[in-house]
Amino acid sequence: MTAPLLEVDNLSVQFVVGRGRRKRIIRAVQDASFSIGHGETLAVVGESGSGKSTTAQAILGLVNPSAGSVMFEGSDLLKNSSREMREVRRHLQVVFQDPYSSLDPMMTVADLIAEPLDNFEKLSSAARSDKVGELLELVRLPANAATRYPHEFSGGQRQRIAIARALAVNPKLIICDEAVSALDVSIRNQILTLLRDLQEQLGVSYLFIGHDLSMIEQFAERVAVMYLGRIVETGTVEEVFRSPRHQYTGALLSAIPTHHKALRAGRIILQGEIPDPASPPSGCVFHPRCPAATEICGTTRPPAVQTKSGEALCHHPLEIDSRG
Amino acid sequence: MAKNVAEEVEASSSSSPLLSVEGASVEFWTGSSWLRVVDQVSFVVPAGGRVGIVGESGSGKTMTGLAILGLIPGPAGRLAEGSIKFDGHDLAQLPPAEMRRIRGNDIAMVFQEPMRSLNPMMSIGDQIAEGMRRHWGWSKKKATNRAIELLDRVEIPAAAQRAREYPHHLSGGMRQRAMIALALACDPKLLIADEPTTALDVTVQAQIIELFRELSDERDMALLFITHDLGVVSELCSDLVVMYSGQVVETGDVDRVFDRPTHPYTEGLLQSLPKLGAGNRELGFIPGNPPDPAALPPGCRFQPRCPHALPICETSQPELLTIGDRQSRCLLNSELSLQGVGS
Repeated sequence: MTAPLLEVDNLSVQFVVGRGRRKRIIRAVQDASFSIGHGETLAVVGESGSGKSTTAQAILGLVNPSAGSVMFEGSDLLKNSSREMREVRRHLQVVFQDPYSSLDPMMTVADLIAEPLDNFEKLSSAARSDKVGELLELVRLPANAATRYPHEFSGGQRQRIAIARALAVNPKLIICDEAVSALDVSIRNQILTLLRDLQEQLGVSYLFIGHDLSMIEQFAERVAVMYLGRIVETGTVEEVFRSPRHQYTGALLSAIPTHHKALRAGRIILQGEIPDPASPPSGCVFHPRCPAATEICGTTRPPAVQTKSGEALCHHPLEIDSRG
Repeated sequence: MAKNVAEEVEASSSSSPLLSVEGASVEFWTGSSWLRVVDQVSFVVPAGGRVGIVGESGSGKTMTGLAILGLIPGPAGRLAEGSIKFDGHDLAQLPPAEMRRIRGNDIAMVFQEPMRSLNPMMSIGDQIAEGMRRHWGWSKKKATNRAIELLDRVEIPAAAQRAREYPHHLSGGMRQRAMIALALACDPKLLIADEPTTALDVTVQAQIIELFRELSDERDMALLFITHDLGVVSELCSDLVVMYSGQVVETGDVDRVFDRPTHPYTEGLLQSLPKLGAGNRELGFIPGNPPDPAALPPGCRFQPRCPHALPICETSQPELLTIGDRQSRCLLNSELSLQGVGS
C-alpha cells in the first residue's frame, strides 16, 4: 500500500479569547486524525462550530495548530519553512464557499486563473493564454470568458472560475471548503459533477468540507463526521449512510429533509443546540443532546468502536443495519 | 387568462381560500423601462393550509411573498397588475394604513435572517409585546406576559429570562424561534415564511420545521413557505407552487407532484434531490443557468435548459394550463411522461 497523500495525525487547534479573568480557551479542533489517498475524496461534515473549517485552515497553514502533525507527501507541513511551504502550496489548493468574495472583482478571468501560475512559472504571454484557454475548457467555460470580469458571471460560473484557478498549478489536493453550499440546487450538482469528472481526468484528491451529509453521498468515498471539535465517526460513505454507528451521525442523517416517508418514520429530532466550545461537556461531547445517553457518557470519554471501514467514538453505538 | 386559472383552482379547492393571488406581476424600473421579475403569478392558500413556493435564486419567489405583504421595495418596484385577495379584501387596492393593520396582525412574516428583522436595541420580550400593545392596545404587563408565553411555546428555554435579553445574546436557532414568537404575537391567519431554515444547521432545521407544523396545526394558521428546498416542502406542505424565471410553472398536491411531475423543470429539481442510501453515484442536475430577466429566451423560458425541448418550444410561449387539480406551463405536457421520485 502506498503512503497517503495527506495524513493528519492528532491535530488540535486552540484559540485564546479575552484576557485576564475573562480569558477562555476554545478548543476548536481536538485530536483529529484522518488521511486522504491519491485520487480520493474525503468529506469532513459537521454543523457550525464543529471545527471542520478550522481543520481545513490548519492544513492550509492559515491557523497554527497547538498539537499534531500534517504530513503531505511525506513532509510535515507544520515544520516546513516558508520557502518549503511555497513549493508545497503548489500542490495544495483551495476553493472557498463564496465565489463573490474570493475572486478579485478588478481582475479579468484570465488574470484570475493565471495568477497562481505566475507565482511559480514565468510563461510567455502566448503560453500563458494557451494555458488559460485549456483551463477554461477543463471547467467548461467558453473561451471568451477570459477577457471578462467576475461580476459578469453567475454563482455557479464563478465557482468554475475558482476551480480553474485552483487547477492552474496542477495541484494534487484541492480543499473544497463549503464550495457548493451557496449554490442553487440545480447548479450544485453541476459543480459536483464537474469536480468528479476532473478527478477522473486528472487524478486530483479532494478534501470536501460541508455542513450537510445529503450533499456528499454521490460525491465522496469516505467521510469523517465532526461534532464540537472532534471527529466522532469515520468510514466509507456507503457504510456510514447505510449503517451509521455514532448516535450523532444517525441523528444528522435522519434530520435531512426528505420526501421518503420511510426515512422520516424513525426520525430522531435532537434537542437543543451545539454547546459552547469554550466549555465543552465532559465525557462524550455529544451526551447532553444524545437520545441514548446514560451516566457513563457524562463521565468517560467514549471508546472507539471499530466498524468495517472506520470507527465511531460512542458508548452506545447504533446497531448495525441488518442489510449491512 | 391567469385570472381564469385562479378561479378554476378556487372552485376545485374544497374550502374557500384564505389567500388568492391572481395574475400578480411585479416590475422594477431600470432607468429606461420596467423589468418584469414576477409574471402573472396565481395560486391559492386555503385557510389553515400549508403551501410551499419552490424556486431558485431569481425565480421571483421572494418578490411574490413581498408583493402579498405590500412590501415591494419602492419607488423602483411596483405591483404592475393582478389582485391579492385575502380574507375578503383586495390587498393590492388597500390604502397603506389599512395594509399596515393587516400586516403583522392577520398576516405575519418570518425571514431567513432574523438578525435583520429583529431590533438589536430592544429586548426580545419588548419586541414581541410591541405588536400586541400597538394592534390591540394591551398594557405593557399583559403584553409582556403573553410574550413570555409565546417564547415558551416556541421552545425557548427559560423564556422569562430570555425575554429580557437582546437578539445578539441568542444563537441563530434561538433568534429564529424568537422571530416566530414575534410573528405569532397577533394570532395571524397566515404566516409567510421566506427561507426561515436555510441559514440553520440541519439538526436545528429539523426542530424548526417540526415547530412550524405544530403551530400551523394547533392554531389553524395557514402557512406560505418560500424555499429553494423541495425536501423541506415535502415534509411540511400539502401543496406546491414551482416558480421559474418569474413564472409559476407547476402547481399541485405535493405527493402527486413528487410522484409524477408535469413540468420538466420540476422533474430536474426532483432528480437533483439527495438520494439518501440509494447507493448509486448518479448526480442529477439541470444544465445551464436560469435566464437573465432582461434577456429572456424566445418561447418557453426553460427551453434552453430543457432536455425534452422541441423546436416548437422556441417559438411558442406556454400558458399555465389546468389539468384536474394540477397546473403546468409546458407545451409538450400531454406528450411527456416525466420521471418522479417515489416516496
